[in-house]
Amino acid sequence: MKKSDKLQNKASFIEKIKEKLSSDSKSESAVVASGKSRLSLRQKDALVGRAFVLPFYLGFLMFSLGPLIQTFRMMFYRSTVKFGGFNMEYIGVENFDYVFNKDASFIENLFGSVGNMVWQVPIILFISLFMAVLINTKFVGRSFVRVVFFLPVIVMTGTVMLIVQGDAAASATLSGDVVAGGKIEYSVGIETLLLQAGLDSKIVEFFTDISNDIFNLAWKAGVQIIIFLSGLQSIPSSLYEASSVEGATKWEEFFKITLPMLLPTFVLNAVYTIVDAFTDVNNEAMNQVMVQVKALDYGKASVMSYSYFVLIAVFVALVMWLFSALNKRYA
Amino acid sequence: MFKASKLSATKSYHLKKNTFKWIINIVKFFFIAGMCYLFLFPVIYLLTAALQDPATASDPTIIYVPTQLSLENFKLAIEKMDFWSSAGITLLITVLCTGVTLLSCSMVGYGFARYKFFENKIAFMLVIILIIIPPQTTTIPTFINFRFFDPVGIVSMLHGWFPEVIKEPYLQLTGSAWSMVIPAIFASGIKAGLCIYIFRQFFLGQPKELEEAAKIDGCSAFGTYFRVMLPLATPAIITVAVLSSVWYWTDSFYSSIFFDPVNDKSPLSATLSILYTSATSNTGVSVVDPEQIKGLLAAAAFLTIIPILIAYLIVQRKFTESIERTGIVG
Repeated sequence: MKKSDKLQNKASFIEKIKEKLSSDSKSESAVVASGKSRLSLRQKDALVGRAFVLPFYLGFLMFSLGPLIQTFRMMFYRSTVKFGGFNMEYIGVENFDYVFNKDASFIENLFGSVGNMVWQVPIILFISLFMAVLINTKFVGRSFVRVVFFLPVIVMTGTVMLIVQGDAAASATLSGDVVAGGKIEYSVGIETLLLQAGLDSKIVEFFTDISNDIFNLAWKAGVQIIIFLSGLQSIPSSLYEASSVEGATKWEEFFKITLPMLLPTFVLNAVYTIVDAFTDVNNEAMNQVMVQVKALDYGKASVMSYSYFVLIAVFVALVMWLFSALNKRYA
Repeated sequence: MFKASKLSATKSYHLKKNTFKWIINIVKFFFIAGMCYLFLFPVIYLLTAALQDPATASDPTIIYVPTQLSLENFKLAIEKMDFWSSAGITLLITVLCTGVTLLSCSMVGYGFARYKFFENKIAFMLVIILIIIPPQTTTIPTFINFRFFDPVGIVSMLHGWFPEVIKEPYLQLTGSAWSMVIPAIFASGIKAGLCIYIFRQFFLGQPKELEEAAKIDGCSAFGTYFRVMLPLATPAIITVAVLSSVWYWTDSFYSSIFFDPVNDKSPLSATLSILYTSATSNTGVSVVDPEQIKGLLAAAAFLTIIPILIAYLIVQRKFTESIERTGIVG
């Protein structure tokens, strides 16, 4: 008798708990719906994350979204500037027609810049990694060398480069260094030397072209060197200590510790280099966009720039996917 | 006998190792020297042209070493550029914007790296898009956005409510340092997308143990970020600080949009770019006689880059060896 009582009690107790649980979950969902506290841990986490990202959301809304939408709309309009805005006249796909059908040069330039990028980006990445590893080691006069390696970052941006170029071009014929079209040609002296040595002019041209390109690419590696340098420094030194205790050579250290640990930095630099190569002032396709902007023909300019961005985005996505696949293999 | 041979073997091993080291060092020296030449060449060029006495500027035999030193060009450049006042405003913009960018971008980068929320990936795509799109392509819409600043209609709404306080249905941000600082506060300054990306990649590479420990000890999410993760992020902070201050210092694009060269005090690179166009174009009224242009421009360019170079010389000491990570075992 007593036993069954107890059992019944237990059963009713379980029932009560079940009821309470269900009512709890109901009230919880009600609370969530009303947006007050008692969120689940995951929801709380998401909210905190959004709070961290909030400045970017607000900034994007205020400063970037408007111009982006405006430029997007302009693809379908003929627009002229007026005080405080634009006069827009809807013309359908006329701008697209012009850029892709009537003016053949844009597509040509587009493919040209893609072709350039494919070989330039790996070389720039290699140069910058090499130099970053080099100036991360200890040697006499390192501060000076680091400052010198920082010069491209300052000089390549903006007006200073124009002045350097104009300056060098003015006295180019004497110094043997020629600056043309945004490129510094260092090896004119060597070229004449090799020609006098009796080498075929085509071979000489081939080699001097390559060396000129490498020199100019080194100029574009400034920012990447800095980013790699910081990436090298965020590798914990305990890893190197452990590997040297285990008897690893420097070579093994580089390939088994430095490179895998640098992978995130590598992605970052690859993306930056691609974007930099595409948006360079000397890039023909970009140049064409700027010409249209300066001619106040925003419709064509925005068609060009948007089709251009889609192409860059495809490349960036490709690189990021490639590196994430690599990352999975290492991890 | 046996002992001696062993000794000589180790000796020759050391000798081999030493010669190998020497060869490596020599190769390294030549490589670094070559690279230094590559990067220094244009700057030496500038310095030569700037230091040369303007009276003999047209002498074509002068290439690397100036024959008659004079500071005339620098004096003229300081006067023409209104150097001190424009350097002042540039310094203000650079310091303010870099500081604010560091805070906002590191926060955003941390949020992207560490927290899971529904739109994380999509929002980060927006960051990438911001990196990809060069600001030049949206020049005019950007100018209009800042000249008649009215985000999602808030300002015009406030104008409707308090017409006495807010006189016009928009704010004018152009013409003052605010046009640079306010976007930086909201992680939308110059190349802010890249800064966010740098921070995100850095935080992704950090172990989670420290944050978990801080959480268990009762630290709030923001406290964990500010007191645990931010001090840890010194390499990323220095990188972003260096790059972003250079971008703000040498920026001539935004400053030429936001500042009116006639009425406003323009930043340094904007005045440099104005000086360059007015000196080289044949159409405009030339400010100086053509003999002096080369030296003047070189001096102006040199003056523009020298403060940031000195700043970097001081900061680069922080780029030392690997950071020491304490508190994690294994």
